[in-house]
Amino acid sequence: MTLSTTSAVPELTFEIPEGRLGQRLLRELRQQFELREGPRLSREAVYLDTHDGRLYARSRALWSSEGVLHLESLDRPDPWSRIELDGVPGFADRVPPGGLRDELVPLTRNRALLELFSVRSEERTWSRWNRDQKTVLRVSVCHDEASDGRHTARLGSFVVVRQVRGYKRIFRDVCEWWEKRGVHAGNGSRYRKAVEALGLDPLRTASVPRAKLDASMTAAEAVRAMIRAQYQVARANEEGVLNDTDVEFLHDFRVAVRRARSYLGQLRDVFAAGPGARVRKNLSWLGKSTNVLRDLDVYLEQQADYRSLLAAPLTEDIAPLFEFAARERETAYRTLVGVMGSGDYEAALRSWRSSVEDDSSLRVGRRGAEPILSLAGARVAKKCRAVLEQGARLRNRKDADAFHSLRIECKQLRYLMEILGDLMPEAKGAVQRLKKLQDALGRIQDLTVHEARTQDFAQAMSAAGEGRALPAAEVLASRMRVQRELACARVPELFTQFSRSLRETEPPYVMLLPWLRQIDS
Amino acid sequence: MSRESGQGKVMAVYHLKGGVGKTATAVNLAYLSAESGLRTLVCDLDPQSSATYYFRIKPRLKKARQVFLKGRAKVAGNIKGTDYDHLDLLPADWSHRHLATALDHVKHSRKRLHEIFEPFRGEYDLIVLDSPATAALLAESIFVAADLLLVPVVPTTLAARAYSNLRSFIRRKGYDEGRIWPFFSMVEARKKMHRTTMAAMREEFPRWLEAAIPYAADVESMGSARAPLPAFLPAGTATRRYRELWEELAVLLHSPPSSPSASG
Repeated sequence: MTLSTTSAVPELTFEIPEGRLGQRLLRELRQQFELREGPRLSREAVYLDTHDGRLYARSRALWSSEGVLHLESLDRPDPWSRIELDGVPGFADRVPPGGLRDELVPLTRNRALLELFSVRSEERTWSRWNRDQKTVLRVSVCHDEASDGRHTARLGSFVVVRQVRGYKRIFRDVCEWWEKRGVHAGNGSRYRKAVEALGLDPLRTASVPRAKLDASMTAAEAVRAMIRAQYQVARANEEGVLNDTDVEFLHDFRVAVRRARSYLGQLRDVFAAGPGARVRKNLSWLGKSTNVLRDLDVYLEQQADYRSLLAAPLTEDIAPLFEFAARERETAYRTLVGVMGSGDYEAALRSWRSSVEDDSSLRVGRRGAEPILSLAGARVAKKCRAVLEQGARLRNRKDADAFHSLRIECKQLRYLMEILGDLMPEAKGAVQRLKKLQDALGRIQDLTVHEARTQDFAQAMSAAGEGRALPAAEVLASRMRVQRELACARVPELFTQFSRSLRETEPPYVMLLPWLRQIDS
Repeated sequence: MSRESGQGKVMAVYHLKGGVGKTATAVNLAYLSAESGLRTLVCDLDPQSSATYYFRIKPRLKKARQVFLKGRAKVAGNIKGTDYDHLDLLPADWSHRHLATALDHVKHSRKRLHEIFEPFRGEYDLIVLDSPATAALLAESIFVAADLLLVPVVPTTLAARAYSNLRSFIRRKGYDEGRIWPFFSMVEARKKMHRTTMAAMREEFPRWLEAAIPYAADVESMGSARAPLPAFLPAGTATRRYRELWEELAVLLHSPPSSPSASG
């Protein structure tokens, strides 16, 4: 049952002092305004977000209480969206159709909605009557406690003064009464209070560069900070990978590994060669250990899209192939769980961690003392040149390897450009264009890999006497090829947009102008 | 009720005849709607202002004559919160006795209420119109505004005739009969005449809501309690019947609209 947007009936929250002073103020308030005692309530609100805090990143709080799901803004007193729903939805697309789902799906991109924490509120309710014994004001005295399953924290005591529509004066009088006693109305966001009290970071697992860089840092300081941040992201995602609640935990774990490895590889002279190479080798092993599972996750995530490429009878025939893929995925998951419990895995993580500690085994190399800005700028310029040259070659060479090779270059360039994006906000436009180009290249790579997988699965099933899906699999593989051709056709335009955005960006990209002119001609 | 945000439903409790339990029905159903979590607005269009009285609110509108002629802002400024969560009221005013005449002087008068309440469909999940007993232009404006016309019918010969007249009137004017949902009100099951009239009417008009509201002293006590029945007699027989009626209506309001509003 979809409910309307909740209108913004004015309410103000006052945080009351602890102890006797708070008690005295509450007594005075009740006496002065002749507030009548109402029922005592006990409520629990469960706050949800994706594994990487996508709602929090967009200043939204999603919470479920007493069978109603609410979505509210953390920054503005916007009306809430609400919907009646038993239990908590595992994914946004399981919320019944309506405004709330329409808002939620693009925000979460349909990642699993996980419980972040809950807030239990013990509430005393008071009301003020007029001469007709009609309620004209509502007051709640709340004692809130937040819990994330590991820790519990008191959020304090609050008085919430709620206006009854059409009765402004008494609402204003009570609010002024608090202000006169030095208790000011505050932002009553339970979410932010709970996050702070529990010491939570809703973005902790997000696969974004998290290190705070400034232009005065040396390259060694900056790279160490970046690798440390990625180590923390990888660790924060481990539990989610093992619990298998959302495939994005593994994705973000892999991105953290890849970023760290890319920083060490791209800026390799920042640290001494030997130890740096050892850490990179360990990171490479970590990445490879997760490849099969990630490939199968993506394959199965695309299942609905791939089925839609087939005509009606074939959509049924292809079902055993995806069931086979799901079984393969289960095997790959168990294999990865085994890897993550192994000594090799712990050793690889240990080597990563020790490389970022202060007394690190990773000694500063010959360019480690240079300012990060100039070193990263020079590397970006060099990598840009490589990307532009590879992109230009696509005019003559359109095989899968050429696109894959460009994709890898783009990935490395993006990680470097994100460093600069932190230091030079004007570079962010180019990063966005690059991301679009990467998305298109990623789609080509997925289709290439998935076509091969489809054929492999079909053959394996056929060998095992399950040949029913074979004709449908052949059709699907051919449709994937067509889709790949279409995706390839989009790349030149995206590539041109990216190269233009480089030209419109201030130095260090200006160094690339000769190549840019060459490509445009 | 399940629908896109911003598409609340309008339900009018209407009959040509007075004293059939329209106001008690509007007030109790609105309470049950709000209790189920739906944001609900009751609009008391009856100059007798009984619904307003039940909610302990003064029957007075600011700039009363302009409220239904000037649009949303005037209506919004007059809405009052009731004692119950999610339940608001647009009070009645003595000047409502001139409402039908006033509508005569505005353009597109039949669509007036529809235009007035349309913006509130985003704010409220259900708008309940407590209508006066009238067949004037105001009635037609109510037919256009309402997604569902709930008609309480007392199982007596005269009330049956009045219901038959209402159906003819609606058909003649070209409004959508599919939106009419009758139910039996003030039923005295021990009376043979009530039983036979109900059977005859069910035969003549096959589509009825199942729940029937009994004639009960409980309903009359709403006047002294000045509260909806489920609020002060949650386990009473009449309350149970209103709950059954609400459950049926919640399903109907959930379903997609039968057809666009007729212009009359």
